[in-house]
Amino acid sequence: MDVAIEVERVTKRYGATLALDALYFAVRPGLVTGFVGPNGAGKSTTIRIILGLAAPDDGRALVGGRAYATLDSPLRHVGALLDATATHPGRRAADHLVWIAHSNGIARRRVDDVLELVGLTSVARKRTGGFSLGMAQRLGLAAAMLGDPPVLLLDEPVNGLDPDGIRWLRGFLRALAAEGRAVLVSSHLMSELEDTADHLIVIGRGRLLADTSMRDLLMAVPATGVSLRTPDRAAVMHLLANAGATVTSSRGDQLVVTGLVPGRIAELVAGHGYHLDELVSHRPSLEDAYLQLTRHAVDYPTSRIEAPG
Amino acid sequence: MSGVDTAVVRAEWTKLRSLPGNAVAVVAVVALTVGLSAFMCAVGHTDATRPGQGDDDVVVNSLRGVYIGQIAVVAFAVGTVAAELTTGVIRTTFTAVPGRRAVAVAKAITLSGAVLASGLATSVLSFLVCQPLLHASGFRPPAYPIVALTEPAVVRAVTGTALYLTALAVLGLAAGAIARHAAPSITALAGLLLAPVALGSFLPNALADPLQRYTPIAGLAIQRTVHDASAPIGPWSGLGVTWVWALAASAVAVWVIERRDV
Amino acid sequence: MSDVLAGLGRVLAAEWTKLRSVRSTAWAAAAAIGLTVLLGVLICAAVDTSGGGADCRPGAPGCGDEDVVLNSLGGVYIGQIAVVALAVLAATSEYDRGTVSTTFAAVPRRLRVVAAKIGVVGAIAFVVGLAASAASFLAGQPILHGNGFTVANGYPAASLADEPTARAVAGTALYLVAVALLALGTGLILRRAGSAIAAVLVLLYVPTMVALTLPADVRDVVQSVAPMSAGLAVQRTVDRFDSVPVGPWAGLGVAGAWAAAVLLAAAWFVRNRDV
Repeated sequence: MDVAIEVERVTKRYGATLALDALYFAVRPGLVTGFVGPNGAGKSTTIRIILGLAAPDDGRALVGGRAYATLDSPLRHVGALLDATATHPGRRAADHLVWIAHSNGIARRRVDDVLELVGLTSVARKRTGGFSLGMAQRLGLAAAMLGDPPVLLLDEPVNGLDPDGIRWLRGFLRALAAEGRAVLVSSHLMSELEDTADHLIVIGRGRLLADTSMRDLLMAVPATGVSLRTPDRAAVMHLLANAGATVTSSRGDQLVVTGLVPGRIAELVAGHGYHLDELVSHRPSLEDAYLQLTRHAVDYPTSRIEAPG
Repeated sequence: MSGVDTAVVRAEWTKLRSLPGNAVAVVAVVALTVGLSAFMCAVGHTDATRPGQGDDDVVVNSLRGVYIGQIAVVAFAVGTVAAELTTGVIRTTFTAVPGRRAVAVAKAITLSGAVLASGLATSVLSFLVCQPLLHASGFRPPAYPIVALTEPAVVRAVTGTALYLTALAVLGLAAGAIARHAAPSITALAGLLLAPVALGSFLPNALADPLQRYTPIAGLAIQRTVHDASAPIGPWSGLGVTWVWALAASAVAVWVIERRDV
Repeated sequence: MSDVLAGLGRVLAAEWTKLRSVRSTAWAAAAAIGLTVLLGVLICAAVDTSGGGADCRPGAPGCGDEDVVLNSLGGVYIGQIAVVALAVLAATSEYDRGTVSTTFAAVPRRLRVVAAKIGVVGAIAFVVGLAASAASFLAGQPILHGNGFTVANGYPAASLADEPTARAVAGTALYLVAVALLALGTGLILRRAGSAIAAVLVLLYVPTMVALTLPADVRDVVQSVAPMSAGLAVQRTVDRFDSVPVGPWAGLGVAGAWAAAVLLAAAWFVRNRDV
């Protein structure tokens, strides 16, 4: 299928608050799609609407071209991880997976398979109340994989994982995408998505802000400049300014140049016989790109803190 | 009140009044309580025509709604504590105020104040709503003198009901703190309050009397304004029994809270 | 049709797994049986044949009207509290722990989940109820004989083989099913264990409590429409002056009607509320 999930102009109100405003996007198979936005942007609400847990006031969400509620064994179509702590603390991990498997007619054997997949076989008989958050996240992933679904919806799966766990999850998700599955991962933290997601859907205040590949998003934010160090400071400043660049000096003997691509700067400097000790091009990070996109859409902005120096 | 910081009390009061949904629940419970009293007063009737001929206790009838109100109070008291414990708010509380006993006392004072005030208001309201209904049902002179809210017996019954409800609130608070979960606490206390009277309808006296004498329900004797020799316990003794339950449970709760990991 | 049944079968299996894998289920079931038997035995130990007036001689008319079966089954007055707790938790613990999202994502046809919960909770309530009432009946009989309830005193031995006795015992189990389903529905509507348990217990006990002081005509009406007093009419094997004025099966039907009404409302809420 070409499109795994389709959100068509979904609108949702809670009382007087407009949580989602004609939101539309598509999730494709074979990719890890990051679903990002500030807190309160509507990510969890969107996922719940896709899964039929909440009803939209307008618009609709389709999975494989169908409404979720019409699917016969939905877990074989979509695996979802919504809230890792949503387990009964007195129930054993295996029993938690068994009842989910039963509900969709999934074979008992799959429970053992998915436990092994996420590395929780040794604690299958342990009650989930004693699980750390990382273990709970992995149990949630196991539950999402029970039906071997072609589509995965994960709401903040990285929360509470240690660096090891994050790396493991990153590899896990990329492997799932490589198998041809559609993976939608929501997050409000950019750093994890940078090496994981191929495609990004950015929302803010319930509206779509960007639906783009990772590369295109990074390219869309202008480079913040080139910094260089040279023993011939004054001369180089003069030279570059005459060539049309804006040159400012920053800490120590660094020069910050904007308006010329790094290649042209190097060409000019070397062509006039000056030395270059250092030439660094600042590429925007996903964090920068995202903050620029969403700076008008943050509901609860913190005040800027100027770093000393 | 040594050991009780007014700041802690104020903090507990802020927590109590900022819980969502409380206003709606309170209104619903008050309506049900007054409604039950009104029902009892409206459907009662008497054939008495001379003073002393009828032996119905009209004040007790006017305050019958307490059967429902008492469960609501207990459920609410347990709920406030259990919610704080299961959501981990208690850690914030105990970090801010390490003196756990002070917190427990402050909670009890805050809740008691709220329940005493609302219990008093509801009882007065029930009494006033019932008066015209009783008169219409035949409970009027010459058989039954008009009873005023200010008469000593009525004052005792009405304030006593409020004090009874307050004791139950403290009991609920203690039970919630000990059991840490709402379901078993409310189940046990509601059962303890409801079963004895219902059982009294068919149990032989040998079993029924101790049930109504030694369980918290004994406090309802405070509502009596007509002397009843066959009653299992006297008004003040009955209220005392309820308060003994409340204070004993509180002592256990404070002991447990101070020693438990949070 | 067959795949609807297959789908329902799966959800039933899931709901049974949920209930059997938490400790509260076993505790509540044990408490229901234990409390019912305990109170039943206490009642049987405390009653004697001296009821019926000062000059009551064994065999005289008006004597011998203690309902030995009803007495031995009186423990259900307390045992039902544990059944209420079990049924409420079957609904509210999903909301409390957040697994309701998992459940309805796995089974978006939510009414199937409601039907499965009804099936599993009802079955457990029936088995527990039958065990409790049979056990308390059997435990109570020898005690009653010891207290003078013998053939010589006008009380024929009751056995489970008699129709009235069997009806009382099985009917008590069915009453507990009605109570459990009433509690399940209330739990699905209110979604919080504390308020649901409180509401159900008030609904069960308060009508009986106030009926004691109502004038006779009003009392008859209240007892005939209230779930507990009407439902427990099924336990009656002897008609007495203080019997609830509704037939055994009609009374049980009243309790069932309450359960059905609450469950219908619960189904509407579950279907139409956001999770």
